[in-house]
Amino acid sequence: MAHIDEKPSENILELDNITKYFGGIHALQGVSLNIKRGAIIGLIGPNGAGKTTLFNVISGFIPPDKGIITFNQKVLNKLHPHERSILGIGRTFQLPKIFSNMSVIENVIIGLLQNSNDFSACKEQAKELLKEVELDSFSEFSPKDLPIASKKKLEICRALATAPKLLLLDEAISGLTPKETLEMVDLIGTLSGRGLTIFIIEHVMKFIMNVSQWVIVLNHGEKIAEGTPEDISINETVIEAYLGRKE
Amino acid sequence: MKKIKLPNPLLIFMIILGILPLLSSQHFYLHMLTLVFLFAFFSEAWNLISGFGKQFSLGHVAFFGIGAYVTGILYADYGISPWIGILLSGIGGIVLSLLIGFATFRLRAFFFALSTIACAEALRVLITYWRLGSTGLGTTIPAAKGFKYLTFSNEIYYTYLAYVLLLLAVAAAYKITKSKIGYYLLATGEDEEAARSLGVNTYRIKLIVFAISGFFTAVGGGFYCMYTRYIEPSMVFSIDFSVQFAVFAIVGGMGTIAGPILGSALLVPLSTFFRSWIGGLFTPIGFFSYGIILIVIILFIPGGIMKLISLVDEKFFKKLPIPEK
Amino acid sequence: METFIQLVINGCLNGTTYALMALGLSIIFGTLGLINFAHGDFIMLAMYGSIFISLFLRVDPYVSSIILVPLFFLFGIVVYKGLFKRLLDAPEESQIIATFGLSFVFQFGAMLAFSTDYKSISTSYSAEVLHIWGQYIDYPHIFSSIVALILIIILFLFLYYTRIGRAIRAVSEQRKGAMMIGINVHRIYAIAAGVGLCCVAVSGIALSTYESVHPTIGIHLNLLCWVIVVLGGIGSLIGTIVGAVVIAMMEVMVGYYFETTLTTFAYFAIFLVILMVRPNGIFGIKERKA
Repeated sequence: MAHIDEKPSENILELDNITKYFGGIHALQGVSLNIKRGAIIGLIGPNGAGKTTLFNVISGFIPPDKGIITFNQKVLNKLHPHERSILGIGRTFQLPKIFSNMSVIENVIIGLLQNSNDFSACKEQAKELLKEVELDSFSEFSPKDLPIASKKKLEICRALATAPKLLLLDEAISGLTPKETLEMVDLIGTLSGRGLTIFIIEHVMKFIMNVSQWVIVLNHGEKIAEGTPEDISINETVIEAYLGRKE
Repeated sequence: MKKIKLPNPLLIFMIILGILPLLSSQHFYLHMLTLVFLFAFFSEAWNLISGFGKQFSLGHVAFFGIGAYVTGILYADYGISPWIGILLSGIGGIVLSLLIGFATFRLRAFFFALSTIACAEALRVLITYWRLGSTGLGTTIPAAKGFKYLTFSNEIYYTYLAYVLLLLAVAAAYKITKSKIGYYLLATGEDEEAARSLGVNTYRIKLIVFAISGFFTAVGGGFYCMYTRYIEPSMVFSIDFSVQFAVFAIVGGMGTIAGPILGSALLVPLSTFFRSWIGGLFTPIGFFSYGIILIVIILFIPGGIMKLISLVDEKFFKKLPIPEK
Repeated sequence: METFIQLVINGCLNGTTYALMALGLSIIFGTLGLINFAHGDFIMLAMYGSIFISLFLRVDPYVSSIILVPLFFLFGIVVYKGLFKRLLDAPEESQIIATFGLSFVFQFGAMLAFSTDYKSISTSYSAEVLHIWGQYIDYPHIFSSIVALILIIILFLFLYYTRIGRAIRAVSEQRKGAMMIGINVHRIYAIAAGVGLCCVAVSGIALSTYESVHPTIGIHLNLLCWVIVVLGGIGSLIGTIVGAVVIAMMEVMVGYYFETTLTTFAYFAIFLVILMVRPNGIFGIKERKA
């Protein structure tokens, strides 16, 4: 495909012809895409387009029926989710999956333990990480009572604790207030500045257009377009499938 | 978190329990204590995988029964010392737990519970078929005297052996909850998908803890068979045992170290009271009320006794169980 | 070959009664999402009910359904309001233990009321055997499976063609969605519990015509029903029926070709193997995220 040539730098993640059926329905249909190292990529599409399924395929929770997933020149297909995490794929979930019976800091420690056995060192590191997302004052609290924005941040923080190279964010800002959204945009910018590759699913078009450098559009399990945010916002097919629905 | 203070309440609690057998030499009192310790031990073992790891097993009687049968048969039929037998029981428990875990750990919550019942029941039927096919009778453990054959004339020895078992289980639970495995186990129990996304091999964690739990339960099964001196498949593989292990932990407080002990201390005497003091004729009334008590406890104190205690005295007991419960 | 056909017939006949028993559970579990570990004891109570009513009024056990079915419908509503409703949002383990407590209450309540003796009734057709195409089939089994079949058909008609039945299905598919379109969820739950227990009542009656009852029979029946429902796939009524026939077949075959003691082993083994291959049961449709 033509777009491969347009991207000179090395790809951190390559999907080739990923296909997944759920009881006869095509959840994903021959999806191929490449993620550039260090980029922020947006994944958009109407409800049920297969965005979360694609994330689950990348992070290993759903095995694809067909296709090859390559991460850092390594074929991932046969690896379990935890092995992919160890290789450097971190993720968040559409509805934050926080360990709600543990304290905020313990949530982060679980992530840190992947690369360390030293609890006191982990604790210090966890405090540092929490400071970055401005949750350090809640570290001994139960995350149950945190507002949704803080839960999302905690989940990102927890994923960061595993020292990922690629971070998959499933709806990082849905349900956030405008102010919280701005904070999240900042956070994502900071992380990207450190060389982390970020792949974001989002419903809010404006957000994705502001944040990402490259946008991929899914519809009915198929990739219907990809390009710079500017190109996508004027792409006929995309407008028809997605923007035309009037947000 | 002030770390140094953590073990104190638990340690004090265990020391108090250790003194209890010395308070009276009455046979019935000691017998009751033995049962309390023993069932607290079983419940503690169950609590490891089902309380901390939230893998709700209703088939723990499989380990119990295997333990009882390995020790019992080796001794009754081959004259092998029960001390060795109990060790082999433990190994049997580990092997069985790995088999059951392999077959069932990929199933979601309630299916797992049901599958563990299925495993235990299948085992019960197999052992019944194997042992009782010809005679139709259970196995009586011969009463040879002496330490070598785990036979004592004074009840207090059994009581302290049960206490030692409980101490081991509590120590193991304490150690685990303070370790990486413990953290991973809690994470797995809370949300398996999230744990996996953070690099936790949840399947392996569950297998390890299940094996530890199975080991303890089987060892206890071996001890139990030497204590009661009679085994029969329908008895030592009865689903009632599995339920009891769970009930004690739930009533005391699942996912806490002290919970199973408190539950057992409350319910063992209660059910023995129903069974023996009210008299054989009225046994059904006892179990009838037991059922009602269970329902009431589940409906009105869902967190168990530990929850009540933590509500009453948050400061003192908050650190008694493991992290944040 | 002749024995094989005979075994298949027996398996089918047992299977339909099993199916009815398990459908009661399937409806309650599917609709309320509640794990009821006292299901077998409800069946046990229905068997006692059938025996006592028919002895007392000197009627055929099936006639006793005129009293027993409405009674069990009410029973279902009462149990829902008294216990199930409070357990709906409780964790699974609490549901299991609480309904286990209920099972204790029923079991030992039955022991107090009826003693531990085995009880059975004989009907005019108890010993009659139908000899057809070289096969011998006893009438109690024929009648029970005909009745079960009729009730299964009525149940399906009810669930698919009545307003309440459709509401029950809607609720079992999506609780929140149903609430949004204005269905009174608690009323539907109560009715579902009642309908579930109606199935239990009829299956208890059918069972009592050829099986003797004792207070602890429920433990076995409970596990049997759960195995069937899970095997067939949660939420699939057809699956429940298939599961019932599979289990009944297994029982008959293993009992004949191997050893009666091993029948229980066989169906638990089959249960485990099928769940290993298909973790959601044979007809489990809901694709769950791993």
